[in-house]
Amino acid sequence: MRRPGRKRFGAVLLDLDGCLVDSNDAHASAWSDALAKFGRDVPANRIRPHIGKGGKELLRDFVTPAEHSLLAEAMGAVQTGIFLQRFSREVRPFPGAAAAVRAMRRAGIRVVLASSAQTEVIRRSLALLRLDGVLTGQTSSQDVEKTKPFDDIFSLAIDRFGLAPRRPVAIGDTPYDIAAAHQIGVPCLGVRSGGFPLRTLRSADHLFAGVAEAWEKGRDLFA
Amino acid sequence: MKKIPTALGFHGLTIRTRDPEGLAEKCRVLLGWQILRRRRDGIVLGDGPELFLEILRARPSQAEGVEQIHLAVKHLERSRRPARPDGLGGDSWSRPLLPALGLTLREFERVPSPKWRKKRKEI
Repeated sequence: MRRPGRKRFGAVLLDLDGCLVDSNDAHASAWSDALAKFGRDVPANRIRPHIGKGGKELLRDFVTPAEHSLLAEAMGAVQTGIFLQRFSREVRPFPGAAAAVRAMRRAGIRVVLASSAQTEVIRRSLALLRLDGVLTGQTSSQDVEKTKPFDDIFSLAIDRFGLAPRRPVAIGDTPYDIAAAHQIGVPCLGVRSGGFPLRTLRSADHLFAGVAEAWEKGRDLFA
Repeated sequence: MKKIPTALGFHGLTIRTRDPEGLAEKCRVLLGWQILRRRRDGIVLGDGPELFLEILRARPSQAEGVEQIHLAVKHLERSRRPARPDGLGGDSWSRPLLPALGLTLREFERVPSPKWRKKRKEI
């Protein structure tokens, strides 16, 4: 149902992991194995609730300040290497998610991939989803100093692609996406495809099963 | 403009002494640091490459004291000096500051060798 008098969303800040691709478990497992290579024994199930934060922010909970300041980049590089090695075996696209993105673009909505992932992970994921050249643009963890749950990635995406006049909305699967969006007054549509418990997503403005459902059932929210 | 690496922090000291065992024990008591590894010529205290104290045996002709300061940096590749991969999981280069004191700059890039890695619990 159309909502008269309310400006609808003309731009989307879209998360990648847990929204377009089923990769959160693979990320947690790769982090666990990467930390083990540095001598730090952390099971994947302890890391899993922190997936969605950028690597440096995630590591703060699992390493000492000395390790963090000196080894965080090396740990992140090792995690990315392990994740990419397993990518084709463990990462799958969510059904209908890429089709929903294409439909958004056909409807004239600007869609920017605003992810905390590394550039190579984004490249591989977009190739898997066959979304190369479909998106308005993308940002990655390399573009900002602070990753989610800080707002920097969303703020950069809005500025870089001129999204402010189009009333942007974020779509994310983690409480960190919601926190980042709300910090700058951007609404967030939560999706449960990333496997986060419902209680952690309650502050989302709307909640859907996945990106495909957000587009189908939430169509009246968009321009 | 001269390009210089960005210092991230101090992460290690190498000390020469005639009694590595005695000094290691003193440091272990004072700092609570455990022995990370033993070498033929000395002992390394610490948890890993991010913070360590390397205590080496001084030969009769060598002075006792701090021999090497280890600093972690970013963008070591911008230096004109060639960097070498090392066992701590970094690329590093060293140069003398004084006749008996050297400086090592290291950019951590990789997994440290097992000798530099202690099994650590969750924090």
